[in-house]
Amino acid sequence: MGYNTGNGVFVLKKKGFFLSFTLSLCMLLCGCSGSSLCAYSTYAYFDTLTRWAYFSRAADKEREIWAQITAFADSVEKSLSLAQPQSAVSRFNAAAAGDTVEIDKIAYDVLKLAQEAYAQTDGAYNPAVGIYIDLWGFSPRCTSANYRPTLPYDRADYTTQLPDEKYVEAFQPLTDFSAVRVWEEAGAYYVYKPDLAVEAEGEIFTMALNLGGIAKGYCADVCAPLVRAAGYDTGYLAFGTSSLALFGNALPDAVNGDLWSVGVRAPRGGEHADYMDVYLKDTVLSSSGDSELYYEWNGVRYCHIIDPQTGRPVNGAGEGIICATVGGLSGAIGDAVTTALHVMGKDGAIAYAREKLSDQSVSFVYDDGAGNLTLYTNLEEGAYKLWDETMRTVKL
Amino acid sequence: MGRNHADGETVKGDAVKKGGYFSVWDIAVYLVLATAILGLFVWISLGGRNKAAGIEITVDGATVYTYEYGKGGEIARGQEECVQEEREGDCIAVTVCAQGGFNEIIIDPNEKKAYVRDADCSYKKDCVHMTAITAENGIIVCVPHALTVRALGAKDDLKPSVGG
Repeated sequence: MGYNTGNGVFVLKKKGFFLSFTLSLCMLLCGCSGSSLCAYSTYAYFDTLTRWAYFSRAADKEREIWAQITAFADSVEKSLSLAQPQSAVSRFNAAAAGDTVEIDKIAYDVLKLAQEAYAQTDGAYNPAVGIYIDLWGFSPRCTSANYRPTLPYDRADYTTQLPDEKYVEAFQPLTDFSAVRVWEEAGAYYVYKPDLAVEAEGEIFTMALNLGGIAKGYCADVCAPLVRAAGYDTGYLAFGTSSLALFGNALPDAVNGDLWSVGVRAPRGGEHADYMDVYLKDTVLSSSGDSELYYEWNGVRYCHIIDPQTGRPVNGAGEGIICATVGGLSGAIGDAVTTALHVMGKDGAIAYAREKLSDQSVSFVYDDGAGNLTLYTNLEEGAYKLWDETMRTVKL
Repeated sequence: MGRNHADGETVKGDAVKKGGYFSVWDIAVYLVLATAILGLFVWISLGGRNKAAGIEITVDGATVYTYEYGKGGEIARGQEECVQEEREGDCIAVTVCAQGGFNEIIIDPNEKKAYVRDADCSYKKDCVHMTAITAENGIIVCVPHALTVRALGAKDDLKPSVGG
């Protein structure tokens, strides 16, 4: 090439450096943009979004995993949904007081979990408020577009007519969930419906269960290990907006290397859709709030979370816990506990969080009735970012 | 490439070696190259090729109707019995039958916005009260009917969230 060997080598080295620089920059940026999150999503179950978000490695395997997740969600819905007349819960609710009802394994497992949550929360979580959920217009029957008044306490329009007080008082005895018995015998599963009945307007009413507050968490508990066992330890599983099973985060903008930034929806709206982001991985996050299902009448919000002691929606006076989020429990228990925190009220929730949730992450927002919001949380600074600057923060 | 001097050194080779790896012009070339590569990376990452230009309606994840501003609407093949499209003045009214019910979506090509005008999903009709889609990331969801209305080309927001 006409170069002196020494200079020629130098020129080649310089061209080599130039080429290496270019290729290195390109490869570095390819590495940055190479981890993209894929997702399977459906609205077919629980009247909400079910999503598996993952970092794709093998499309066939992912299709198979998604099929397993949706098959299980379908089974849970068939077992627990009140919109399905043959579900275990529907058959229990339709049974006479004192009857024994044969149920499936899923209903058995979930009822056992419900009993555990009922005991842990001293009854603040109580799935036997089903009749009140129906009375106040939040059951699938009442929220359906095909709703027609059929029961004595039904109103033409739930959002503009409140239930008759006599029913609110009369149904109290029907919420004794401690009287429910669940057992297995010779490979079959059974539930005993307590011999509790009240008569009103010539109709006999018995206990009604509603396990909607725990079903999605149960799905997360079963499906998350399934995903991990298949080798996917990054991504997340979401069942509605109440149960989120988080794995690791392989996105380039992951917090502190591999944490997810999870948005927690603002309960009363505002400038940001979320009132805070929490940074987590490898855990289940459960959430409940009075904005999930509600109506307002005469300036009062009536939500789907029922206080078992009063038979009325919580926060009826405008004051109370309006959303609660717990991380680190199982999905099912977390679902139940976040519901229970609303029922406990501010002081009860603070005491419960300090005594029983000190090893978990817990946050709840309290409304003083005048629209002033306070965040109570045991999260350390740096573990979350608060978007709502009007919200006061109190460390639990 | 250069000529041999009597002492074995070349003019070009000497000039290159004298400049070293990082002469002024070398640094300038590196900077231009890095800027070009980074700029291309940023443009691709921000989805510069995927600006929203219309509306997409899906039912349980499957596209049933699309409307491209400036071009018009198209009912997805096989959905002709479930989707009806009618002109209402300057707007397009799209009625979608889903899950045994219906949603009526209004598309305004002049304002480049879309919203749900009516539905029989529930007594609350949340979808009817959702903000009209005007931005490329807008989305309206009707959960009982598993129906979504979103900006054409908009990507799913996969940031995990709870509550609401």
